[in-house]
Amino acid sequence: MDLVVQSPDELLAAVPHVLGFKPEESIVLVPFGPGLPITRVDLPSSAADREEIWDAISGPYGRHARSGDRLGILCFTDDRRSAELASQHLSSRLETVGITTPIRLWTDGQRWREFNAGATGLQTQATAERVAAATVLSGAAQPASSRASLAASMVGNREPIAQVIPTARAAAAASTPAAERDWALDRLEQFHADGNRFSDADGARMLVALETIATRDELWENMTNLNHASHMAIWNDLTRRAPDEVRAAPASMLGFASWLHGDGAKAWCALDQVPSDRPYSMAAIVASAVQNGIHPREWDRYQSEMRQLAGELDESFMPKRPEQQGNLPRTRPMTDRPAPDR
Amino acid sequence: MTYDDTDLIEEAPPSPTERQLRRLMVPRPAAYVAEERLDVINDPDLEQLWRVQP
Repeated sequence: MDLVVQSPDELLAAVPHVLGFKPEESIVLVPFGPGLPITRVDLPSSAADREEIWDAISGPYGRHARSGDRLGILCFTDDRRSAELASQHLSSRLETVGITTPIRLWTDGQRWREFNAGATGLQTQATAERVAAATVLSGAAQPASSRASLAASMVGNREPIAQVIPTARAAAAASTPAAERDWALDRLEQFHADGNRFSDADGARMLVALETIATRDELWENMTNLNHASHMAIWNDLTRRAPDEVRAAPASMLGFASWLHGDGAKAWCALDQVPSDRPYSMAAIVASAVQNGIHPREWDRYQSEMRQLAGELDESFMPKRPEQQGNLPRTRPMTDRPAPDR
Repeated sequence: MTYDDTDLIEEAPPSPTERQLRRLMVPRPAAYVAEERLDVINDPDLEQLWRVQP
């Protein structure tokens, strides 16, 4: 990609392309190099809010920070005073974990000011268009006009599938959970291969199949760092089209795939599509991963542990000589912390 | 398996996958408060912001 940020104006114009939407009344933390995440939070307006923001982000940044790491603090708001106070507070707190902030930038969409050096300038449409053109050439999707419009993109016409859900339920009742699970896995693999949108009948059958925990878990565990884009596509489509009664599962799957993709904002928007009157424990787990800034590589670690555990269990079923009995594989005790309902 | 293969999700206890993942991801009440949410972008494409030197 040819784009090289050379000015605050260009940096401010580039941020929406990385976030996927244009931030409003927000602080965005932008790393200068690999290793740290980008984070967007709502702009705090009081001292207590500023401390709460630090409490929320200190985990992810404290975990990932290395000596010499640098961040830019970008404030998108009309309230310049709150931006200055919030960026100063964050800057001093980040220093305590070894992160310096050479740039503290504020913009109201028209002007910008860099608080550290006192430099000022204009945010121009020409720069925004030049940055947008560069990202188009790189093949990146254009950002949504706001976080709300990103969320709205997950709501489609839900009536067609709602009309065929009763038929899908009747067919599932006449089938067996194992047969429906096998069908769902085969259908998922077909989607991975051809990417074709589900018919209403297939969509309804998949959504009904997901209501069985074992089936949902097998589809969930199918997600990897190699196929999460395909999973995002299928669950985004089914979240858009699923009526309330069957939307919790695809929305949670979309949330998880989005987190695996590294996109926390999209993950939140997906979780907001879980009907609020239907507590759903998978959604609670995805929410925790996103809120805590857990890195997607943890999923790799989880899958590796499961493969290892499966291997140990296989071995444990092998007959052993008496002298080997003391070396039986042991698994770590499981701490099963309860998740709050949402 | 510690659960009935035919249990519906809204009636069932946490599945094995959920229980295992909770070892990695500690649920926090703040996750459910919309105004306290973090949008974290892991492994961002920094080339869209700066030229990253190899």
